Amino acid sequence: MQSDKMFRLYLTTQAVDVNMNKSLINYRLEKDCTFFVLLRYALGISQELPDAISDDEWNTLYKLSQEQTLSGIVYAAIQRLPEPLLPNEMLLFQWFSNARHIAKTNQKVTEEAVRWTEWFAQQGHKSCILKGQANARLYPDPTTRTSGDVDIWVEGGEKKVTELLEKAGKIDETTTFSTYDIHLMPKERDGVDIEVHFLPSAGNSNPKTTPYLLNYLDKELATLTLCPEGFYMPTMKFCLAMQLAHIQSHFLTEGISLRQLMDYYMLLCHSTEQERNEIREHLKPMGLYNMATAVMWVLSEMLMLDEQQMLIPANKKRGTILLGGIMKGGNFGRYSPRWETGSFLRRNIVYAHDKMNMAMQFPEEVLWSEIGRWRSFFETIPERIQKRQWALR
Amino acid sequence: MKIKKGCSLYDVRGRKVIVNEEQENDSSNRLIYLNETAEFLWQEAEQQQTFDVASLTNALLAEYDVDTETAQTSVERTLNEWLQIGIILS
Repeated sequence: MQSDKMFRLYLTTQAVDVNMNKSLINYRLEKDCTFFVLLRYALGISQELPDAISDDEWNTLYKLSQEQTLSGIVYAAIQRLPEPLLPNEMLLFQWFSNARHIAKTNQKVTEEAVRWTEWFAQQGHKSCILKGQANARLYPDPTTRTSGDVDIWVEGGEKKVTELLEKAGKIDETTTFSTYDIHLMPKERDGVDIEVHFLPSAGNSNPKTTPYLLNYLDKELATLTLCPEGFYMPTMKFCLAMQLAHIQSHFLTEGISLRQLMDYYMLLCHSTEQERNEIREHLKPMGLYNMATAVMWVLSEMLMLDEQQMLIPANKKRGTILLGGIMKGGNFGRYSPRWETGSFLRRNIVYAHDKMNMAMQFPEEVLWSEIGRWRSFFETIPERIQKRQWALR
Repeated sequence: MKIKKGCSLYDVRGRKVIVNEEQENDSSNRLIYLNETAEFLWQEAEQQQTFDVASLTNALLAEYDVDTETAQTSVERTLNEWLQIGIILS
């Protein structure tokens, strides 16, 4: 019979409890880095694997996968790795626990997406899911994609949608409003945030390209497809345009993670040549051309995106800046060093420095993004005075 | 005794773990890793549905080459610890 110790108890926590705050700074996200190799292995893009992965590197990969919200995807690789390459047991179980949480949350978010779709339909409003669970469907295993909130576009415009939600008692003191959506906070502790979009995109602050983009997206919203899960999806062309604009918007402001890039990879893989050709024609008037070249380069490095699948040829200089920004900031910039600097003024000095780097390759985009940011700052001065603080975040 | 509702056995790359699904959303979550013998006992417990020291000891004796006293002591200790962790109910 086996030893006295018939079982061992492992305590796992949702937060990573390994001291590696500094190690990620030196980790280079490049074509042959282990992180990208594992992502490709997970998705079946490549069967190449490193000869060995040390404990230290595994700890780094775990933290990196959390920051880039790709933990479930990397776990999919771990499930198939040869035994000698596996992480130590403690980390393996931590990752397993994490992957289960991701899968369960996915199920919950999908249920919410369906529930809200049905509710809006009962009120007589068309809707469709933007990004999120609509993207998850494109993955080989949708349960491995880290889900967030539900982004649901609802027809009717701002006034009608707001009135509908008010009348139904969905709006309360926790609800926040923006120029393109209404953010409903869940009542339950582990509930799902719902972002009700009355506009399909925030645009990019450029007064010429934003109306062009919104007009294009509006036309595409005339065609929605009901998925087996029970919610509606927009067209692939809508997704390619809207999500590229979303990537650009977040890259220029808060920051973005590799999850958004991986979503875009899935869109490209599921798009037709005709769809990509059509979007290519609209990239410049939408103000998305430069960002598209950057995204194509990152996807070629990260997931070996073939030239045939690209929207337009990749640009290494722009892509390098995009990838650098992603590495620095993680999911929506939450892990950016600028949040560690303390004061409002110092954070904005770091921010300005980053912007100047970006401006070399994305001049118009940075210019309009900054104009939009300052406009928002001045518009929110009364709120800052009322709260007696410079920073609202 | 019986297995607590929500506790299930999972295979994590060949390692068997018990997950208490009702505790999964807690910030501190426990996984119980079972070696081969413990895995056997758990699967017996699942099969028997209602079990006690005697029934699991008999199962252990039928499967492994071990004396009765050792088997019984091990089963008692294991079940007491599972009760403490909260994955089985008395």
